[in-house]
Amino acid sequence: MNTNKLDASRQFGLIASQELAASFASKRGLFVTGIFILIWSFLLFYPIRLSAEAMHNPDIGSLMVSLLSLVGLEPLKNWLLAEFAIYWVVALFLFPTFSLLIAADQMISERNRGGLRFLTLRCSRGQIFFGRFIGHLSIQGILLVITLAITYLLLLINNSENWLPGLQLLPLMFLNIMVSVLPFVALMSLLSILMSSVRMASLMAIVILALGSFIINYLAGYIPFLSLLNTWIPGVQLVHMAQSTPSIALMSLWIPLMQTVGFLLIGYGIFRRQEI
Amino acid sequence: MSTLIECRGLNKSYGQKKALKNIDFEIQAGQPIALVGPNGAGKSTLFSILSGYMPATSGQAKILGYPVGSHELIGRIGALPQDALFDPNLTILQQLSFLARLQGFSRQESLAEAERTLDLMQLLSIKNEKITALSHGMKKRVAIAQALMGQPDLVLLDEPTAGLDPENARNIRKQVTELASDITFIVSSHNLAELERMCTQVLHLEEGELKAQKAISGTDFDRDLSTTASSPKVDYLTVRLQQNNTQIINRVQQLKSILKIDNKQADEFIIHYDRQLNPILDQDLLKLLAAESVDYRQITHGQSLEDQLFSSSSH
Repeated sequence: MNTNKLDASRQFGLIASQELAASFASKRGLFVTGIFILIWSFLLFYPIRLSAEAMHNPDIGSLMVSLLSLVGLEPLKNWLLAEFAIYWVVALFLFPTFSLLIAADQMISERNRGGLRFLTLRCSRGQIFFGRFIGHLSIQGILLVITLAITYLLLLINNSENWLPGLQLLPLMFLNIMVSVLPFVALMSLLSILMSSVRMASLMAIVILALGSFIINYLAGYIPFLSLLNTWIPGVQLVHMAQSTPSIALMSLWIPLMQTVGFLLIGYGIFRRQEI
Repeated sequence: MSTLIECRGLNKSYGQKKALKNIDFEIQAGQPIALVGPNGAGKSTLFSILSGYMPATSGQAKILGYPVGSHELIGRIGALPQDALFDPNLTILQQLSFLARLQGFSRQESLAEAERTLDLMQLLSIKNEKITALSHGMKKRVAIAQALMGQPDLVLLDEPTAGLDPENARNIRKQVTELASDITFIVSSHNLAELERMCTQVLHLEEGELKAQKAISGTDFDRDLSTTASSPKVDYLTVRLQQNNTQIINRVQQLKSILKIDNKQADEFIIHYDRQLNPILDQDLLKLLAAESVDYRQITHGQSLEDQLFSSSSH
């Protein structure tokens, strides 16, 4: 018997790493990752690179600033590092959207085919639930590091004297974007417990994100305190963050952290009593 | 022997339907135990509760003294869940070795353990295949292999031979019998002849109720708690003749200690007798058959599990 070697954190790590391996091994995982790479290749080498070049150019720069003002992103003109300024806005919205796709199947397919039954005799439901969450977060983390590294490379190619400020900005950007992604992955953890198909989980997430605020605001017209529920819509702080610099955006991170804890606690509470 | 499973007042409801009704039993570690009952009797529900796949509506189930689902039971129970499938995107070896690692094996040990159990199921050659490339029977044997990984104290096998060809079904029975000295198996199946060969005890469920828990020996005096001290010690001989012969049945009826003879089929009958009155009835019977020149195919001490269950149900 190997119970002497049973270590809760080791099992937790194994579940997370297996999720990572299984996600990239599945057709769905490969498809979504392929789409992700395509979109980011396009964004990095065209809009981000060209916009950064334009902002460096005094002739076109003023036109860019006017455009940014028009879409409410005027503060971006104050960024010293134009590549990261554009990346910041794009990544803040794209990573959460991407996580809705890739993190939708944390449990559903496996629960439907009975595969979770092989796991529950070998580790706790908490290890499975939180391990899967960490596994999907790791996928986002890896992809985030890759895109940040490429953007930094672009910065070095365009403006190599800014290598140090760019390097200093990397961890701040990583932290902000990663924490912003947290509630989206946690929401998918919760929905993957509640929904019976991956498609339904993704659809429900879109309904919550797209119509959630609308419904809450409508109801708040009758019961005003319901407007507080807006704080529980993932991404509610993203526009504010996009208009700030990463160091100021840190002040908004309590919202995604609170949402993440809430979604995970509800999801785990249901999963630990769920029939599998 | 130590108490392996203890269920007290176990109930499970699906909406209005009661799948398990106040189940009470205790099982000691030891020889394989059969779990029998018709479709919808609650066998899979009981397995699912014991395996921690679903919570009971009320009551308590303990394994090795710990409530089902306790951390202490991790790695100590193996199970073949009904209709559970592996990940179609990873190889058999990848998945089994991962499960072994969860049980505490190192990376190297987990590969060896996965290969060991695949070998037990004669599946070593397909270790690098994905589950989608396997037949139904092979998938089931892979699932049995995962249940045997490590050194579990208890293994629950839900319909282990359903859908398997006779050779593989035989191999599984052989493995269960060989491993029974180290592992207590609980096996559910509709194949009563198979259970009779593998198991020494039976739990009989019907409509969610535990109808009986008894030894599979074919004798009355060690199976029914309802048997009183003054009751005759009823024993059985099951006789299968080469061909139908009603006259011999009349002659057998005249032997000492015979209580009743049941005609099971034209060429097969069950003798009910008082063992205290005549402990050597089998020898008397053989002499009678020889004297009457009646050929027989089989004489079995006791009655089949099927006869035990149906006769007890009808009482």
